[in-house]
Amino acid sequence: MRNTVVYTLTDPVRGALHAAMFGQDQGAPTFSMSARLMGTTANVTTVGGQGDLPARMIESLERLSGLWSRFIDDSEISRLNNSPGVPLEVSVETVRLIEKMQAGYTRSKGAFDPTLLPALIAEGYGSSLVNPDARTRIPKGSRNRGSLLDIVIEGNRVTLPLGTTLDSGGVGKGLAADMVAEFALTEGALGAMVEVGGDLRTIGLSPRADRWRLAIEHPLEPGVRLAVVELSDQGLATSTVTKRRFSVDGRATHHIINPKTLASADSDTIQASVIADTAAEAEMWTKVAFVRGSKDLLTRARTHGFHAACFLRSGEWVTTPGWPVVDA
Amino acid sequence: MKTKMMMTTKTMTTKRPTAFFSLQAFTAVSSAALIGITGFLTTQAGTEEQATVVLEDGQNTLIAAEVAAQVSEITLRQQAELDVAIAAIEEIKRGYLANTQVSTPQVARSSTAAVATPPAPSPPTPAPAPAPAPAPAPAPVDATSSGS
Repeated sequence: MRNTVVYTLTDPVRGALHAAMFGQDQGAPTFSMSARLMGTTANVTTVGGQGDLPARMIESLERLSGLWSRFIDDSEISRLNNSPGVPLEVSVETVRLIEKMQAGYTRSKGAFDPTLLPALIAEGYGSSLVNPDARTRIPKGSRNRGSLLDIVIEGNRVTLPLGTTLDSGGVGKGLAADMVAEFALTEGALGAMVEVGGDLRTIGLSPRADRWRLAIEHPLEPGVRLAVVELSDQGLATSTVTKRRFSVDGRATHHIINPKTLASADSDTIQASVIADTAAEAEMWTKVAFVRGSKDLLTRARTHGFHAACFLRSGEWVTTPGWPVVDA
Repeated sequence: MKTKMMMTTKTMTTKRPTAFFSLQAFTAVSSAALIGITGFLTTQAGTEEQATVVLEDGQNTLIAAEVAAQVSEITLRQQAELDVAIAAIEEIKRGYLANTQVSTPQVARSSTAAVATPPAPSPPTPAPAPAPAPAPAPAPVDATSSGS
């Protein structure tokens, strides 16, 4: 992926450009493509641009998966995890991922913490759900909770402190969606949508030359919509504790770890959705609802300027004021 | 001298067939015996080879049975783990449904209260019931964010 400056056009300007290029009544050519990667399904849609652009976007997602998967022994994340204390040369994408992680950890005051990999493995998530033969390999001395802010980044050289391991997890999917959506605009698309396992980024125009309309799925009734929202140049992430569940010694566990208890998080929330400037940020904020509860997430949404909605164990659906819902 | 030698030669020629055929017969018998022995040995070797294969088949059967037992054990363990995970989801669902049902009687109560109001006078001729409006199709969306 090239390092290119993204010139963001305002909606009216982009809409006028769309109308001039394709006419008021005729939509821009829209292309879509899906693929299985990062242990989930990825969907990309482009508006305008070349017909082969979605395939190139999928290739970019696969490349990022190869850099960040903890189930691939020679991925950059696996190499870092297994070389504590040793400076390693990594890609600019991996540097950006780690910087995002550190920023998210600081802003969420530790509710988002990607250094809980040993605890996550102990809770049953040691093998890939797509390929159970692919296992996570970490050093024996790894601590259940590492020191994210002590990771040293010097240019493209990254050094993990002894005992610290990283899991790209949901933030990796979100950042991949962000980077590939930006890539689509630099390649001539007027708009793009990238979704990786519930983490979704919209950029530019939708196929109707306006905002992107996105549904949020009910956590307990697959195929049923909880809400439909409209976004433009924003990210939407949805996390739930009803998926990626495991059993350890007869105890039901899942993939969201509470950094304090180092066990599966237990709160009033079954599913949390966040709309933020990027998919990576949205994904990191969702964790607050499972670690500290829905009220904490909704409070932080107001103070940090993003939207949030939680589906609670009680069956309630609570949102921040101004949640951009449209008729479902 | 030359004539005598020729005679001698002639005499030898006369005696040769008996010895020759005797030798041929002996050779034939010996060859047959050898062929028989070789055939026997070949058959014997084949039998031994078959016995080895049968033994390996037996071993394979034992190994297959052992593997099947282990797979069965692992499957049972995974099933137990799956049952725990499903039970946890079902518990969440039960809680959700229980909360949903709690809100339903409230709706029913408000409906009952509405019935208590004085009924409006019925029209002189019953109007045909309006055809039920078709359920609106869900609005098209560009993508769905499912929890992960």
